[in-house]
Amino acid sequence: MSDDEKIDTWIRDAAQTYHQPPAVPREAMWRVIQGALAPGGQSRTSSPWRAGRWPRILTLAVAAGALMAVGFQAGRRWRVSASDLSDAAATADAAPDSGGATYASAAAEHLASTEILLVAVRAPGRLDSALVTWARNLLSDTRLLLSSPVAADPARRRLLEDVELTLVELVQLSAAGDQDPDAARRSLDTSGLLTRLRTAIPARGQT
Amino acid sequence: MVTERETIERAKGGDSCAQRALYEAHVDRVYRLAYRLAGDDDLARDFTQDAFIRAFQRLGDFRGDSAFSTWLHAIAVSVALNGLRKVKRLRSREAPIEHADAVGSNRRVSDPDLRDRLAAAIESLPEGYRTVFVMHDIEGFTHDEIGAALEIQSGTSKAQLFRARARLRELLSDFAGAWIA
Repeated sequence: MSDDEKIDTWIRDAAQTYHQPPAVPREAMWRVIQGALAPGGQSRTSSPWRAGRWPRILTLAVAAGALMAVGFQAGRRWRVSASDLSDAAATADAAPDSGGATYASAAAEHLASTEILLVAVRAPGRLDSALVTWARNLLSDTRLLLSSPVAADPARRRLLEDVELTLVELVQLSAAGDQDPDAARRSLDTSGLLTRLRTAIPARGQT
Repeated sequence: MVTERETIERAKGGDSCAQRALYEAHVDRVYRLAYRLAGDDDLARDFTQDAFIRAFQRLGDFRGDSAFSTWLHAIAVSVALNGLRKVKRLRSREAPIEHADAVGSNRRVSDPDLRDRLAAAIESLPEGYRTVFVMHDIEGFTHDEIGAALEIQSGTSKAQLFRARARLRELLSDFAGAWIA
């Protein structure tokens, strides 16, 4: 290897720190995209680098409001539902402090995203490669959340563990070359996971 | 397994699940590239969002002659470079003089300083060289992918990368010389 090649290798390695990207804000960007694509949605193409700032601020405000609504609704639902009494008790015991708000927000976004994926998986047809990629990404995020403070809430932990199992099933289905998602659909139906997800994120389910 | 082409057809019909699936499959690479080029989260988000909005709005024009990723990356790079040009015009690019001084310095310094010097050196490259260097050497695009995204020949991409590397070697010669010694 010549000196130039050695230097090129050194520069290439060092350059990996150049504008090192943070975690991809998938959900936040998707909401803006969805809003723009909806009938009557605002076009952003005239000023791409500027127009997104105000909508994002509004999005954050709406998201903060939605999160509060989710907490309020979830609190009421869990209190009045006899079948979920144990979950409610656990949730109350493990109520996140203010420092856990970020994790709670991330978990809410994650669960909303998982619900959308599972609805797509349940739709008739064979498994799509893009859906499998999406499931794999969500699986990584699920495991990160399981290692985070949000998993201290036993009810949420159980939900995340069930989500993890379902996502593993989807990813393994594809890895094994079994492209028929019927088994995953049956598993979804019997576990009632979608219903539980919708209960955990009522405000998101309505938006 | 349903192919991406079938997903695209469903997305063309306005199927939001199909659009979401395409988004999930490609957003990481688009955002990473946008961030590498912009160096700013707000800008990277805007470029990424705009690239997907344009792509979905123009999906009817996608004929499948190339891979969907190639077509999408061409839109993303175009959006990012045009956006950065507008930003540059408005900001008149802060601190180019300090960067130039830092790049020309012969001090042997620590790693944090190396990062700054390297960043300044990359920033000082002409836009075409910088884009090809970022896409190839940092984000791992092939010359064919870069050629398709930038609408240049893959040979031109190779030539620009060669010149970018030569320029960086020159700008970082004191660091690099000490490293290989």
